Amino acid sequence: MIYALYLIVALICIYTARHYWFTLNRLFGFQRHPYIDIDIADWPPVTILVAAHNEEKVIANILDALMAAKYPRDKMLVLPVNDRSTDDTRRIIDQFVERYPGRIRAFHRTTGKGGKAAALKDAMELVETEVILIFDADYIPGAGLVKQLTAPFFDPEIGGVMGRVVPINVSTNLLTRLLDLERSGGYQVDQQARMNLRLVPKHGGTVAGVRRSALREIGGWNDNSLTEDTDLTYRLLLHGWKTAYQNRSECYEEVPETWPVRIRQIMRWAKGHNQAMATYGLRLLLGRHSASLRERIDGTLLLGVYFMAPITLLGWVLALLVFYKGLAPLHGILALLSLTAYSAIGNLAAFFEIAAAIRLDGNRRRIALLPFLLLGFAVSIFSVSQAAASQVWDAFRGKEFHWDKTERFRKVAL
Amino acid sequence: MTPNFSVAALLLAAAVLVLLPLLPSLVELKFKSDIKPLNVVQQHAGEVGYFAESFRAYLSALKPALEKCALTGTTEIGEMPDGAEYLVLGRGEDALTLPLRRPDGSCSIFLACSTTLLVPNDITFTRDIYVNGDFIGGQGNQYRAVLAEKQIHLAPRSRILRWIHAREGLIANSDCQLLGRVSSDKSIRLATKCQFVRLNAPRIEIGSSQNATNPSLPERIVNLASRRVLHHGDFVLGRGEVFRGDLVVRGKLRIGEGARIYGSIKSEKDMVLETAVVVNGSLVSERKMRIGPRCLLYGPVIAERDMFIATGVRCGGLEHQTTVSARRIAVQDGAVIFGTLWAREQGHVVAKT
Repeated sequence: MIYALYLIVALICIYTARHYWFTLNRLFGFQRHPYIDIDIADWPPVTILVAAHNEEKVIANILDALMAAKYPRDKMLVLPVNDRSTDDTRRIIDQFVERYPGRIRAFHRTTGKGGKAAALKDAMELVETEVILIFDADYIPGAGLVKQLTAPFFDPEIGGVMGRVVPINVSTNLLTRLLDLERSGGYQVDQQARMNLRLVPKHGGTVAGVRRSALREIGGWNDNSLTEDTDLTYRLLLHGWKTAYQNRSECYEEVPETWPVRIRQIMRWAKGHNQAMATYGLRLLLGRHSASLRERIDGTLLLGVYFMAPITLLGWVLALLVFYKGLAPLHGILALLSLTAYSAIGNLAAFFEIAAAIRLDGNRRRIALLPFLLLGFAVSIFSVSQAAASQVWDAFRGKEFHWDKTERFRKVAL
Repeated sequence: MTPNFSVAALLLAAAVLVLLPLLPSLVELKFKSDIKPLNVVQQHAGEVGYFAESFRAYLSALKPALEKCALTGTTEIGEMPDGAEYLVLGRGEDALTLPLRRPDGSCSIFLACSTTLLVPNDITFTRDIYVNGDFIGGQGNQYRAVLAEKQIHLAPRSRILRWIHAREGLIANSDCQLLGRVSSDKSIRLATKCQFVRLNAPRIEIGSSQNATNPSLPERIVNLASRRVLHHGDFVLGRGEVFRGDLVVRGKLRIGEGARIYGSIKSEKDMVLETAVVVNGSLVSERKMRIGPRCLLYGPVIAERDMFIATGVRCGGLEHQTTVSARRIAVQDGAVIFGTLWAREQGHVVAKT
């Protein structure tokens, strides 16, 4: 029992070191933004996929924003992927098609498998360009974003591109404010540090791009995956393609405003991540492919982030058992103290990262909310652990994964 | 003191100690002093001419004064709507005789001129300058920002702090320090020993104009979906060899004299292009890049560290403008770039050896 606890403490220490490494790199290291300077070029034709399932509250905002994008008009086609919507999404898209002939082409999907990856997979039949950009319908891209996300594809090593997601509904309540802090840490520090250190920036599946020839080489969208973005990141990596992160390519999104929606969202992410870990984990770490050693290690650790939640919970239980059974020698007590102290102040929430990110973003007073992240951390650790447990249970029962769409909260078109 | 009271006092003290660090959090939660979303630029795409366009909009309030002074050849002093003091000159040569320079060597008035403007030497202009004609600067001047509707001539040892834009040609003589954005709707020419950061024009000539001939770029094949070759370790493409497709090299890359690449190239370490190499696609190096004489590149050309561009190199074309970018760039007399030349930290012009 004590050795299992040691193992857990060791794993937690590895993740701690990783968080500190990323944060210190972001604060003091050289920052890589190699493609952001490309402001003039012979821009390639681009197709922009907008994934939409019952998006009547938000779809008009993103289509308006994309029509204002500063990109050669004859080289940009917007393709809203209306995935079996039962609300007014279809009518709104058709109105835009009429208003912008030749610039928007509708893809109305009425049957077929559920989920974003399945919808994107079907939409690929209409895509003729080498560069594909992807947005979820609740995002609001700025005028320069299409160029910024296309620029990295001039590098023939780049198969995927990811931009930065910025919550727009920050002021709604405590949850949205906490999610704003988490997003800040995840992108401003975590993703950019991975880019700086030539590790594995993660494709987020929105505010993102993919090269069609790379996608074809890896077998297209995986409609069996709950998180097609994580799945894409690892298949690209295993086939010798890199994903570039563009920290200055920022885009507004809407974050969940209620805890049940947030819990469902994070449970889906956790299941998808764990699914990718089971599929690609060993192959990435030990298999024959072109990823570097640092990419193998970082990629494996990234795959394991959601699995660390049940591991940490198990660590807490073991710590208590070891203590009350009197199994802990002096060094065991020290290990328990380390685990307790670390679990109390950080671990998956990566408070240090978030504090650094807030500083880098130039925000000041919102840093005061940092202690409340303990609340978000507590909710996450139990939700993610529950997701892992139900995933194992579902696997035993042979139950298929179910894709949950994140609910939208926008009241009126912005 | 009763035991119950002691316990209650202890619990209260513990609660206070726990809640004390949370006090700033509770205050922020209650008063919501920092709840705006992070500012994301929505309206523009970082165009180099953005400042010039915004400045033109700002100048609309000055239009009547400019027209009046142009007709009468007089000067006028006043205040902009934001309170900035301005001086409008009907005749640009008046600037040579007016007492613009303060004892500390600066000129802190916003200058606008209806015709060609000539300014004296060794002045630091701390406010913007607008010229509805040519702008001819004096030696050793420092400028915050300049917008000219015709040509700009920067005398030797001029310094640009924020931005400068010419609707027609812009010429920077030797030893100029162009620390901000420098742009022209037509062309930019830099003399030797100039330092720069960000230059943008349909045509950027380095050195004397007689060296800058029109490039004869081969026909462009716009196809990002070329066959890709991924090579581990260093790679050398021999002299005169032709490569079709995209080439990704995980080590160093050397391309021999006269070689031709129909595609894009990337090296994770240093990249060297010898003389007269032609690349139809883009070039990316995660480290240093050295571009030999007379290379023809469509670009974009990106090096994450240093870049050296030799004489006679052509990047892009009038019909295919492109971006050349690196942390530090040394560019030799006789190179021509069509589009953007952007040195993140420092760029400088070096004489042909």
